[in-house]
Amino acid sequence: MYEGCKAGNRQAQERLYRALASKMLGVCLRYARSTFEAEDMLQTGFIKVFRHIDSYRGVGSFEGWIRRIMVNTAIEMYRANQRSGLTVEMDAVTEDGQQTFSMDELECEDLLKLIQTLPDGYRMVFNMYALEGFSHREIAETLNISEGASKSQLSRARTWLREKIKQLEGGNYESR
Amino acid sequence: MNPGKKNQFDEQLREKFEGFRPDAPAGLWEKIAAELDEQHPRRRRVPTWWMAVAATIVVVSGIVYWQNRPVSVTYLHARAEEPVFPAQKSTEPVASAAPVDTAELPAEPLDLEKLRHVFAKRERNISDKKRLRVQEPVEQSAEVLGSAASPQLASHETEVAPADRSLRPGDTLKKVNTAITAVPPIEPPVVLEEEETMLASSDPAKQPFGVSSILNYVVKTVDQRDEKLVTFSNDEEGSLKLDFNFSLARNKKKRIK
Repeated sequence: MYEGCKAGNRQAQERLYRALASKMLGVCLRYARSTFEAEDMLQTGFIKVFRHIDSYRGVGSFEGWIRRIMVNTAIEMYRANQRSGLTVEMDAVTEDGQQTFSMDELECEDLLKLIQTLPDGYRMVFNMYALEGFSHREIAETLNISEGASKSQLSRARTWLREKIKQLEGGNYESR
Repeated sequence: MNPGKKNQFDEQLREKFEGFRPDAPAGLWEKIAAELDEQHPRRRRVPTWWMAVAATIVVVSGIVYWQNRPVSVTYLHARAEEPVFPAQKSTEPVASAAPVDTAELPAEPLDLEKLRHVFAKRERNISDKKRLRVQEPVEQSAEVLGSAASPQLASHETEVAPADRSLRPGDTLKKVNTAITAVPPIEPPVVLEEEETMLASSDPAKQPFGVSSILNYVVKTVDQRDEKLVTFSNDEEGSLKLDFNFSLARNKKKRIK
């Protein structure tokens, strides 16, 4: 499939898209503010994949490389949004951080909605650190913020999410 | 702060999203394929355009170099068979003139030529009547040279004449004239003709088929618009002129975007 895509074979490209679109949309949704934005991200990402397929050097998995391109596309979109001056500061939240959750109760869609309501900067840091495994230094360099800001945004995002999940679970129990 | 707990939260979320497979929208692949198709012709167009510009530059620089290439210069030396210099002779006593002349042979022809040039120029400006009389090239040169030398000769004659009339100044004059005709003539009227032809050719209506025509043809083959990006022309002095139409280049860029 990779060889076919490299040669520009449209059928091979379609097969690759069909195999990975769903999974990559899952990644994009976490970074985007809306489903519409995530689909836009997915489209841009796949076009980049097919156009720059020559730059994949065979280091790491092909899927990992594609995922990285999706994340980079998300970062570029975030930067573009940032330039339009839409930044929201989060209020300081008190840390409790000791609670564990039974997340099995929650659907991914519900979690996504929570993540998507996070202010852009927090969402980026949380995604990159907690779900993608970037270091604070990498995040600081990519998003052009200080390492300290990355750390504080991560902890605020976590606290905020925990709070929301707790509310959601409580609501679920109440409704039952 | 408890990093262990926090990582657990992250881990829970990560596991949750690992198996997350939302449905991709139906028409998205068609959109991607259409955008990929759209990109291909664009990608090809840009290098062709630049290759055309690069090729034109190479051709132009090649031709310019060829026209300005170093050429070995051949200096022509006039042979003076029997050089006699009137100025030298007339300042000295006429009797001792002949031996002195032979002794100072090498330097003399140069001076003579210089004088001839100077007087020929003056002649061109002043004595139109004399020039009109001239018919054949040989006679012409003799005539012009004679007339060129004549003012000086005349003055020398007047100098010499009072001193010693019996020494036959006519002889000296005759000798001088034969000496001048013997020297290979550099013909001022011919130079004048060249100037005239140059002036005539500078008429813009009669531009000859030149390098610019070839270059314009080359540009025409690669740039098929009505207005060309680069236009070549020759000016009066024969140097090549380039006219760039930058507004066209800008328009093209906009169209690509």
